[in-house]
Amino acid sequence: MASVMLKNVRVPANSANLEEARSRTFDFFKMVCRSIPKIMDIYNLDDVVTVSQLRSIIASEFRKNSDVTNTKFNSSMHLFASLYCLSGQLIEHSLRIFLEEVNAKIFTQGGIAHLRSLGNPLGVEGVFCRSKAQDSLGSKPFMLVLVSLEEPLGWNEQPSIGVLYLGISWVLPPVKVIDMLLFKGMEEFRNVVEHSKQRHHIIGQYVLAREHLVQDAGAKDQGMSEFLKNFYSSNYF
Amino acid sequence: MGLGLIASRALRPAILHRSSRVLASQNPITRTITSTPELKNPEAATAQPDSPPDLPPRTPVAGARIHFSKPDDAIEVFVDGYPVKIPKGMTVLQACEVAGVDIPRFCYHSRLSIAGNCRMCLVEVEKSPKPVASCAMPALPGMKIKTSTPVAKKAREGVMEFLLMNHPLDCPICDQGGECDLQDQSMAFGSDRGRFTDMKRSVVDKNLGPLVKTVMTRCIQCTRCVRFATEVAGVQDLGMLGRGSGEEIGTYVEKLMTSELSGNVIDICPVGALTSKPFAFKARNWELKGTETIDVTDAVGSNIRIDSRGPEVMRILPRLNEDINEEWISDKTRFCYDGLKRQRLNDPMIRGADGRFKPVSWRDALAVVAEVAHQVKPKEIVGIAGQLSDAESMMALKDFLNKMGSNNVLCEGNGSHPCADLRSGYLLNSNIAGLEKADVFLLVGTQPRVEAPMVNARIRKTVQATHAKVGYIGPATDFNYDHQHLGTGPQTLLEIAEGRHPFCSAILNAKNPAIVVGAGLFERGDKDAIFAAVETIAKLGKVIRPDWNGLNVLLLNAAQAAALDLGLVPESSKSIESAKFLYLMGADDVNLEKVPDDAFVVYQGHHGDQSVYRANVILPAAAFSEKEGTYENTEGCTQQTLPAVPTVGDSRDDWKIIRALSEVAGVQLPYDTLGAIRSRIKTLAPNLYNMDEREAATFSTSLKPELSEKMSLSAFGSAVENFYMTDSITRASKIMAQCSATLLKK
Repeated sequence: MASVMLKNVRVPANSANLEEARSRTFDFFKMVCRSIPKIMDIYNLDDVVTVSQLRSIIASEFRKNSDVTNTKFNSSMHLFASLYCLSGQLIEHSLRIFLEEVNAKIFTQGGIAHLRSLGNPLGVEGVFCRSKAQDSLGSKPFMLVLVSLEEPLGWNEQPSIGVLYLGISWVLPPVKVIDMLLFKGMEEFRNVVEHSKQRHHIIGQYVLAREHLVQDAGAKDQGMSEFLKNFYSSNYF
Repeated sequence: MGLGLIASRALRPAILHRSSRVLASQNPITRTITSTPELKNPEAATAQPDSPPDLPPRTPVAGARIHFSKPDDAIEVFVDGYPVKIPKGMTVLQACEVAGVDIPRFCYHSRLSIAGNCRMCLVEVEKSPKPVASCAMPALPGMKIKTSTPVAKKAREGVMEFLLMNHPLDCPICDQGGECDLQDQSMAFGSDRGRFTDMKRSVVDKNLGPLVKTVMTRCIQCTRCVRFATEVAGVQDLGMLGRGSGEEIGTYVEKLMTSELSGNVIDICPVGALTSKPFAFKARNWELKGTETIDVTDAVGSNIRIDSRGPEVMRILPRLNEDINEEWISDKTRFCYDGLKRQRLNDPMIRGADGRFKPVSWRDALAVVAEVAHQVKPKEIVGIAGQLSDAESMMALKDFLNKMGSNNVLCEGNGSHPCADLRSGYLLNSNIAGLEKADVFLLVGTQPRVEAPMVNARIRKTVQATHAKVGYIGPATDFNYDHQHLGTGPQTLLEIAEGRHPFCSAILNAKNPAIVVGAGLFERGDKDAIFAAVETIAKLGKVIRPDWNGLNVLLLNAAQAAALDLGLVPESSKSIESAKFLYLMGADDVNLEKVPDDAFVVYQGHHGDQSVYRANVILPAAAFSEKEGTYENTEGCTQQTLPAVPTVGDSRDDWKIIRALSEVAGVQLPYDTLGAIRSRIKTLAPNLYNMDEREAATFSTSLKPELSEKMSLSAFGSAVENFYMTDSITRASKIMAQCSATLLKK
């Protein structure tokens, strides 16, 4: 069954719209849930977690990125943008467009100040730092721009959100983001199912880091002494 | 040319000095032979050389202390020019040990008789034509012993060469590698090459049982095992057959070594001829971590060293303790460790409605136990401490049950109405080492050979050394020393008490009579009457005196003495029959048929042994090798175990479980740490706080009031039917099962 799933683990170029992205997400989730018993068998997780606990963990992973489908912002989001070289060769096409739309001057020192002087259309918060390091392409230093979006940019008629991806974040339409997340997820899933991962890494990354999901939330800290708390966790304290 | 020159020089004594200087400058290659008047004088050679005053004082080997029984009889000998004072009668080897020189030896052992057949201990003694076997030669006053002269060294190399001639090249597959005397001594004292080119001889292996593995080709015929078996173990199983290079150590017939001390030959054998069969090919000694703890399979508390590798106990070795176990441990102590790996409880479990156990978390288990404990009337709560419980857990159990309102705490093995008033009523009052001073033994209802083999070894040592008389009352068993079987029941006891028995004269004429009563008598209903009779005998024979208290009780379990010191005495003797909540802390030998069917039984222990079948809740605890606990042995010496391996699964320490349970039940005990519970113990029984110290009983049993109870005349039974399987650890052990199948006398 897992091999059948593996064949599906290939992201088509782009999903057309949000609904297709949604359905792809749900299909992916169902596929992962169906392969949970196989994963537990591969990595001998029978003594560590149960199937339902793993399912909740995976569901929480999916839920973590649920705000991708939010159409409205309620709070400001901070973007973390690191840009290579002023020549813009590495800047993604859409991001460049965005930046050109705003003002090219953002690249120079004091660019934030300039943005502010424009009336701060983006609600920029200035952490503008300049690195002295040379990047691999040229002699231009790279800069970090922290941009805060108060409201949709109105670009492509879709809310734009920033996605942190490998330290380079850019403003993208959500469908693309969902596609990208799916791609990442499927890559991870493929690694797990093909036994490319190690057991203790799986346990550490998915089980132990999500203790709050795994443990039964009983009346834990109701007047328990230190002794009792330590007693429940281990013999050596 | 040079010789002629030297010869001509010798003819001219007068001018030699001057000419030698001239010649030395002219021809530095040739040496001159000079002679002075002092050198020509023969008497001056025997004059004692003064030991240089700036040499540091030498300490005896391994920090040994010398006991001068008659200080005026001390003699002085010179070891490598160093004067040492030794008591008269010591051998040259012992004198060298006092002087700090360790002489290599194979056949000599300090606790066995002297054989002198390995010849490795040869040292040079002045005025002796050939090197002398230092282990056999008594040191005479004024002897000058030289241990590192070329003669002695050549002797050692020669002996080593001979020993290695017929020794197989087994080091890679020999278990003794790394701790082999032959390896160490050949490195230190042997030469670098041998000259043997013929075929080596080989010997057929002997089957000595499931415990001792024999590869007799490796044997160097030191006869240590033969001497041990005859002298210490008392069985004459082993002997030397044949002569010369055809000598073989073995039992002449196909006989297994059934002695309970047979495992000690493994320690004694200097080479890999006799090794431990369960430990064969398991580990090397350098990868093992040794932890010094105490054995709890019987009440002696032998000092042991648990060798562990990671989370697993690999073997158990004895530790030296002159007062308790000398250098020996019994087979049960040595080989019970594989029971620690089987049948272990590792998760709290609750018995479901279908009768099967379900593993649960600690929270649920403790919550359930606490809830049921509160639903029951305080009088119906009973706690039973097991054979292997340490003092901390028994303290916690007693405190917890007292806080719940019940006073029915008992320890199994102490009977239903133990008397814990006078400590002398349940301890070995003349200590184990003190038994060596006794000259008459009266053993009442105890078979020390199976109950406490180390005590038996001590009695045997006394009997052999001083020809002490031993009278035994009880069922017919075999002893490894001469004894008189006086009778089987209390009838004989009454006869001795009234002075009608012929053995009374032996007791009356003895200087230090010792009476040893077995703890199996605690289970009898008429135990008070029996103890009263024994006390009458003690009064008759003047056994209890200010300087010597010979009225001893030999306990069976490691937990009994500490339980009685802490006061684990039940309020009513019918407590188990009326119990509705039974807390078994490792108690597997309790008769659970008397427990009512609706009683809620909680079992807290480390093995799924007999009591688990009746339990409703299981709480997994730590075994003695995994916890730090205080144990008191039968003579009242407090010792502690140290954790050698980590606990199994989700187990916890016993006292921690009870402390957590008390908190969940709402009656939180006031201690959180080991130090706190030990200070609580100190308030109750301060002797349990001082480690490795023996607290003698202050008052003797002569203080007890007169009893006029009827004694039943049923014969004494034996408390230990199967020596190899007495507690939960040994019952779970595969080696013990093999032993009881093959080695028990049918």
